[in-house]
Amino acid sequence: MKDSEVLNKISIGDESALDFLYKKYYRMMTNLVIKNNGTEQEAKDVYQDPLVVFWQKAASGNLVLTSKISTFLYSICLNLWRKELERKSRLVHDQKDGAQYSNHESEEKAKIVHDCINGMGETCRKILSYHYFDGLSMTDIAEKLGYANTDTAKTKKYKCKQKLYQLVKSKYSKSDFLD
Amino acid sequence: MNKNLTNEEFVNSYLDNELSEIDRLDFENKLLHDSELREEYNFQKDLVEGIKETRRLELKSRLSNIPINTPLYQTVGFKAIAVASISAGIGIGAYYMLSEDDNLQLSDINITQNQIIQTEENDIPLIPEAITPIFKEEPTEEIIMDVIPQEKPKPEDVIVKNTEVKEEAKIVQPNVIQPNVVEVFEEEDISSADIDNENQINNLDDIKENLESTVEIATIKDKRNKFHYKFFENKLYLLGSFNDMPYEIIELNSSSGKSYFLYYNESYFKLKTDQIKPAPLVKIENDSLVNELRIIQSNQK
Repeated sequence: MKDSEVLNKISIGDESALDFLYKKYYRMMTNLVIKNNGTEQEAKDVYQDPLVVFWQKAASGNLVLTSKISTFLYSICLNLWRKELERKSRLVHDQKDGAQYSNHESEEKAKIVHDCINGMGETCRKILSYHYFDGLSMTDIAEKLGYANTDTAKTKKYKCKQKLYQLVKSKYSKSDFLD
Repeated sequence: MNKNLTNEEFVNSYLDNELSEIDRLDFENKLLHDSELREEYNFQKDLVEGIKETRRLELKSRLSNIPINTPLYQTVGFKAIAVASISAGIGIGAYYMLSEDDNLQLSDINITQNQIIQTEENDIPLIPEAITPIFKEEPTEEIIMDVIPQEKPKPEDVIVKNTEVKEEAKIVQPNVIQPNVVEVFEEEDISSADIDNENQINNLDDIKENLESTVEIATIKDKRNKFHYKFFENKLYLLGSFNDMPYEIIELNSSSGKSYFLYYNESYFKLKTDQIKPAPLVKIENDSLVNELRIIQSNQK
């Protein structure tokens, strides 16, 4: 599959293009980490994160690609792994400090929202994900989920968002979300 | 802004990019001073971030579940078995050759050894190189000749074995050198000769670039040729560790024919289409050509 075909598929949210890219460049990207003091698991993370970001950018049309996909991914993986190695070397000297504390509250909030989203129906999860993460247009979402038209998708999205809104509010007090 | 909008709707419209430019600025201004609006905004922002994070994890989970197939010949187990098979083959061969009543089965054993050694040497088997008779270095014969003299067999055995090997080689060798194939290469010769001189390519007026190369490409891990290439039957073979780093093939269509360049590790290399034997890749040092190629490359993205 050529790069242009891959991008076309991603633009309409065809996840098979993501699978294709993952398999195609798996060895190349993971070897980059493994051959530079990384483990297989670290290599997977370093490869998967940029690939997901690539998917998000390409799906939402916010990607201006000036090189081949492989070159793009390789350079991101390379930078990510360099940063990770730097972070690791810093950790050897510095102890973890109270900064972890300040993130604790936001992590807890994120978990609350995450649980609520997972408690919703599959359709709602999909429509919200496609809209907010993948950045798909309502026309694409309607087509992907088999709705009659764009308005149906819009209404459905609104209802799902409202449902999540109420779900999160009902479970947790407002103070949880105050700064 | 519609004055009837509640804070919830106002924030929702903002996050969904449904506000006009004026309303968006109005919203951002109010956000600085209106604590209730800010509270609502932070709440909905958490929802959106949560949705995004959930989707990100879902996609990562999807990727983690994709099976990555390691080819059999690349597995450690296979290589261990191959080495063991070779050792066993040599042992059996030595036993038969050194015994008093050795006989016709010798040739069969040698051929089996050869096949295993070939697979072991080339990480990717079934490449045209292995069956191309035009190459002088035939791994088949080299290996057989290396193995047999060490065993010091009787003179009659050597005659029998050599005959067997030659016959086997004839069976394996296809008729690759066809007149048609040579003609194609000659045509390519003429076209590529014009641009062999790097300076001549600077006139790009009549050149159409094509980064989506039409030539078929194969990468082969080759221990002897670590950074080489060759063209064979309109297919480009890159020999070496090309799976470790991305590369690009740039195809140029000019009035004199097609020519190819390799972009690898931030350098450019000329690829001659008449290069049917493995040749080392030579970096292009001509700055003006490199610049032209860079422009072509960036224009095509």
